[in-house]
Amino acid sequence: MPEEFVGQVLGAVDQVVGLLNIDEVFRLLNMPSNRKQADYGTALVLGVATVAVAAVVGGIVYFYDGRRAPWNRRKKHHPLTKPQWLESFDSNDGRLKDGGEKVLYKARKGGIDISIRAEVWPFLLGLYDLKSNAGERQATDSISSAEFEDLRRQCEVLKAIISSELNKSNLEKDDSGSFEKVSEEDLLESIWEDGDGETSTSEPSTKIEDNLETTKDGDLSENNVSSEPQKNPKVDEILAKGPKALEDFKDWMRIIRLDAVRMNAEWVPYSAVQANVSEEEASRRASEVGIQDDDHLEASRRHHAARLVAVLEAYALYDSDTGYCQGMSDLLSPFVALMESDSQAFWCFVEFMKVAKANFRMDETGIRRQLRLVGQIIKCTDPQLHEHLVKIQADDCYFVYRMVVVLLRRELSFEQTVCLWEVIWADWAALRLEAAAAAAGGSRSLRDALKKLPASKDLLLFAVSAAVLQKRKFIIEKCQGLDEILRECNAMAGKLDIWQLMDDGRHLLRIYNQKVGHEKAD
Amino acid sequence: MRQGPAFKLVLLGDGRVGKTSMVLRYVNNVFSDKQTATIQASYLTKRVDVDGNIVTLAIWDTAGQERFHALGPIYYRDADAAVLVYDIMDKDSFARVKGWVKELRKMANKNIVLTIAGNKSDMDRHRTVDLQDSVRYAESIGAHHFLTSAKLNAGIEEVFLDVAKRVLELRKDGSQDGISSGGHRKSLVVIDDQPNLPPPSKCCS
Repeated sequence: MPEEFVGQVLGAVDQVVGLLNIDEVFRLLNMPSNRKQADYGTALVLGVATVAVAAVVGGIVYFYDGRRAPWNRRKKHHPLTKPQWLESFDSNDGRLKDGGEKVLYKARKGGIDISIRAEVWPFLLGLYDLKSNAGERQATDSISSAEFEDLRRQCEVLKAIISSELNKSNLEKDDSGSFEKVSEEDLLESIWEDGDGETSTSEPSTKIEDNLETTKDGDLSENNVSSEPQKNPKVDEILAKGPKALEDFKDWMRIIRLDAVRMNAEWVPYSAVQANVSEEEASRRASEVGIQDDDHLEASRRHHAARLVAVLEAYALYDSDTGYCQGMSDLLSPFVALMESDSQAFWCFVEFMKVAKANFRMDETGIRRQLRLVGQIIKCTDPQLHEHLVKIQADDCYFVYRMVVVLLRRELSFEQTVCLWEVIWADWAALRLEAAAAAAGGSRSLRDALKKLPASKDLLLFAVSAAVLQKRKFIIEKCQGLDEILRECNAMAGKLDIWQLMDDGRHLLRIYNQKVGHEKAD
Repeated sequence: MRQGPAFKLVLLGDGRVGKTSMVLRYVNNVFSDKQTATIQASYLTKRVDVDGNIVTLAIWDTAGQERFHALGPIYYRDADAAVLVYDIMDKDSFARVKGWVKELRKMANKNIVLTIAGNKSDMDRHRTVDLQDSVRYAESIGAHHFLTSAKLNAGIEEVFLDVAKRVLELRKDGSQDGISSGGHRKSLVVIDDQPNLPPPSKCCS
């Protein structure tokens, strides 16, 4: 197992280099470190030793691999491989052997091999419990798939209501507030009178009829067999919120479609099945969700766009407080690309959005918290740069807004993005695991792993800060306002090295933890 | 490196009307009909020769969706000009232009130079926004109106050149008191004056 061995040696080297870099950062930034002179001596010795070890390891790896120059080796991170993944399950009940600790550590350190991403992500995101067995996961799948189908059905019901309402307001143009005082029953009745016409497929209208008979039933328990009358709790929720909510949903439907047909196609090489989808299938899916202006797209992209619409609409209904906002399609697209099932993509997206929806809040509190933290990270790790930002009134860090909102999707390639995200998710999962373990008295191995490779729920922000710090010289010397920094940040697109960011981000996290820890102790 | 004055110009308008395409056509002379949605905003600059005067246009290309609205003041805080873009095939997007005008009146620089651009003029046969209406509206608010096609590179250069000329004239007139308002970071109100017209029922069929 030369790869395994090399990985271990590299891990050790990383640790040493990691320690060194903290000092290196301080030195580069020209600021006093808390370390004593003697530590520098030690660091120097360690440094020399590291260079020697790195050279030897580099030589081995170079020999082993032969494609990469040895000096690039430190950045090589080994992803969790398929054999490793399969081996980590108990063959009896399909449970992750150590509660997923090793898998998480691997993923946090090196990402995940493309061939198993779709299988691992649900664990990282918490859709599957790390302690679940195969049977439990199967049960989760079938329940969530039924739930997703029901959401899709309710989307159609709501769309029928909206289009009937439109017809109505067409007829009564003098009525100033067209959505005033609409009750669901009025609406449903009007649909019923209008007939289902061109509004949607015939299925929802039959359900609407059922619904009319049962709206006053009061019994909200789910799990009805399909022949039973169906309820539309999510539709009711929106209608109960009043006319503005219906307007919002209508607007989301429109923007979802606009955005879906203009998603980039970077994912295509990563999904052979979907890349080769037939014209017929693409057309079928497109007409199913009512996309019309996609004639200029290839079949694979039309298909992708149609699936995006189906999932985003379902999400807007599922979480109508968030609804839809531009950027969310960026977050969803990788799931749709790598997962065959809309339902699985949807539920993974739901888990992702539990955290990411803070980015899309109307009041921007979520985004501001994160921008503030980026400011604090910079202040704590590079006071000189921070001082400059204050001077030019850019210390609110609005220049990293885009990086934060869509988690660097616009700055990175598809492959880089999903790699960054899965490392971030793995950090979240490790912290969940730690919290659960802490409640049960703590786990030593987990603590050690987190000491070796510190985790943060805000790992992204440390990576973003690292990206900004790469430009510190330019920013300090050349940028006199937000515009210039923003342009510089936009120009990073396509030029970032993901593992460099991750390594640097973790270093910043270490420094931040140390310093904030110190301040607390003081 | 920079010579002559720099003008700050912001592009505003509904999603997918072609703001980014217009800027990319103007600055880089490229076009893609698959341009992805803008998140937050991008910032590009271009130097223009206005009758022998070199000016730098600092162009802010903003995201169309209102959710990123709270950022608005950052863009039109002391903007010299705003180009309000609509899609000639989409009445809603024209209604949004009117909304933006109201907002700019309240929040932006008093002397802001306004331009309205009806984009996608290559699709004239599918036009739904009446040209006379939009031209008349532009006149009523003291804006210039242009028809543009980022795809065919029609009218784009003219928009930006006209903006540059007008801002330059304003500056020459010596009315430098423009940077008075703006910067109302928190008090931004989204003016929702969408008429109850039915949008083209694209999304509901």
